[in-house]
Amino acid sequence: MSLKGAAAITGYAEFPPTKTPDGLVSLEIIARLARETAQDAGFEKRDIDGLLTTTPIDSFSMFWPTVVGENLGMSLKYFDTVELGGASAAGMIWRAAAAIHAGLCRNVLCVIGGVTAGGGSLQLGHLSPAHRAEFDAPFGISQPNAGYALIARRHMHEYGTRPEQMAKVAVDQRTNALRNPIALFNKEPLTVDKVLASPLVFDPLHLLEIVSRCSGGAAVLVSSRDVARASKNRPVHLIGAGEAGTHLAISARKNITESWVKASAETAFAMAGVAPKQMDFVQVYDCYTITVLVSLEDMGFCPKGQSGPFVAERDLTFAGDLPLNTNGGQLSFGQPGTAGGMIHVVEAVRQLMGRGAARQVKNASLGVAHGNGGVMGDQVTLVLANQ
Amino acid sequence: MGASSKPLPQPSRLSLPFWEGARRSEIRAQRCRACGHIEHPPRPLCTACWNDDLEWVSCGLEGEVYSYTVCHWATMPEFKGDTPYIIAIVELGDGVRLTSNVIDCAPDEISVGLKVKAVFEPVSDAVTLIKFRPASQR
Repeated sequence: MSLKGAAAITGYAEFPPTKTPDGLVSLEIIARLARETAQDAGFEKRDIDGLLTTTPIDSFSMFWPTVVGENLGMSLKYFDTVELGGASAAGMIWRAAAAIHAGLCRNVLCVIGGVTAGGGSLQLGHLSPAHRAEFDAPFGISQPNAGYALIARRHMHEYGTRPEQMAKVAVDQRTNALRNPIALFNKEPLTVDKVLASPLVFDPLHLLEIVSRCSGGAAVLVSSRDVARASKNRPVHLIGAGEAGTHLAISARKNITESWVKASAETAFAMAGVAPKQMDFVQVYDCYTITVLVSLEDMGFCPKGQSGPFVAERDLTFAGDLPLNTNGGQLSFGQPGTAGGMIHVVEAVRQLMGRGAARQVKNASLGVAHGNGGVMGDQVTLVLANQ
Repeated sequence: MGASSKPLPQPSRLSLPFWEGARRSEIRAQRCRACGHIEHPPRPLCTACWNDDLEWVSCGLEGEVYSYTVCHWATMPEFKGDTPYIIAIVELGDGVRLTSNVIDCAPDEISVGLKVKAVFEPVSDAVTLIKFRPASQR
């Protein structure tokens, strides 16, 4: 089944990322996002008949979609949890489109919001998969930092990738963030030297190559083609989607420098009938700089192993020859839990609606939004278009 | 690395033979009797062919570093006093991979391809952790 053109994104909202949630609870963030997304699209609560959400880390519970639906007073025909870590958001979009295409519903709110205790490490406690408690924790292998550092080191070994090439991703994304009023890190420009002078956390990854966790959230509304025509925004059509996995432990993958991104992107581009070089921008999941490098290779933007020289030579800013993470990416925006994946979807939609303001990519009509969960584990690639 | 305050693995029914092996200074992995696929960590069935007739075999104790990272800034509080420490994926001759620590090795002496050998570190009556040190060391 092709989902090409089956549904469109008609509205979005973001909860500004914050390090000081001051007692806020996840449901408040989700409620605000729901109202603002509906308003943005020009719809009312009664127009929404579907809900996809992700259980927030701070309030993990059974029946989470039901809890959200009840608290928002919704009448739903389709509701579920999508739990693919950072790929949850992109995973919601094609699931919503599939449900709409099957005639189950017409207007699906995809919302992720969560409160993360300020700073420090991610203490998932009982949420942590058993494998990590048994085979990672006793050795001080804190994930996902360690896993991505292992990928980065192996990539350097196999392909000669340089630390300054990885750092360039953080630098260009920061240039984009300077034009994003809600990004957490939008004041100081970065240089490659500054990134490499920041503390080594898990060698070869420096502090400024690693996302900073925060509270916040983001949401979009996925609508049928008929519903989308009534929206007050220019609809952004889903024209390609691909999902691929699975592994949790990076050691389970024979070649850790090649990822499931490849399979997910091939599916998405084939469905869309377009090629990577046609993209006006790419919103790539960027929990770490190395994530962006490996993803660009596996999506086909450059040959395998060449992402180091590729990102060093290309201008990745919103005005450049390959606009990438035009909102600053999570590296400069902050990572509001699993909503980190939704900010990439929102930014792709914003650009294609022509609402990028100071960071608008000129003549943007076609772009990628990508989600990544775990340690290059769960992968979803979306191709979006505004006509 | 002092063991007292560190998180300890809770062996499961599935993984118990692996941890029993570690206590006897063995690295054990499951091998599929149908297709010969061998792997770690323990699985409920063969991930290659879905046969559930698995046997435990003892692996060689030497291997080489497939990739590594040096932790300079521990996010797990119990390991803050141990930095810098080395985490590595070690590939044994049998193809089995273990992710563990390389000890008795300076951060600037670790490299991809470094030959290492297993070290068995008892941390409780029930649990012995399998770590590695450079094979060049006696």
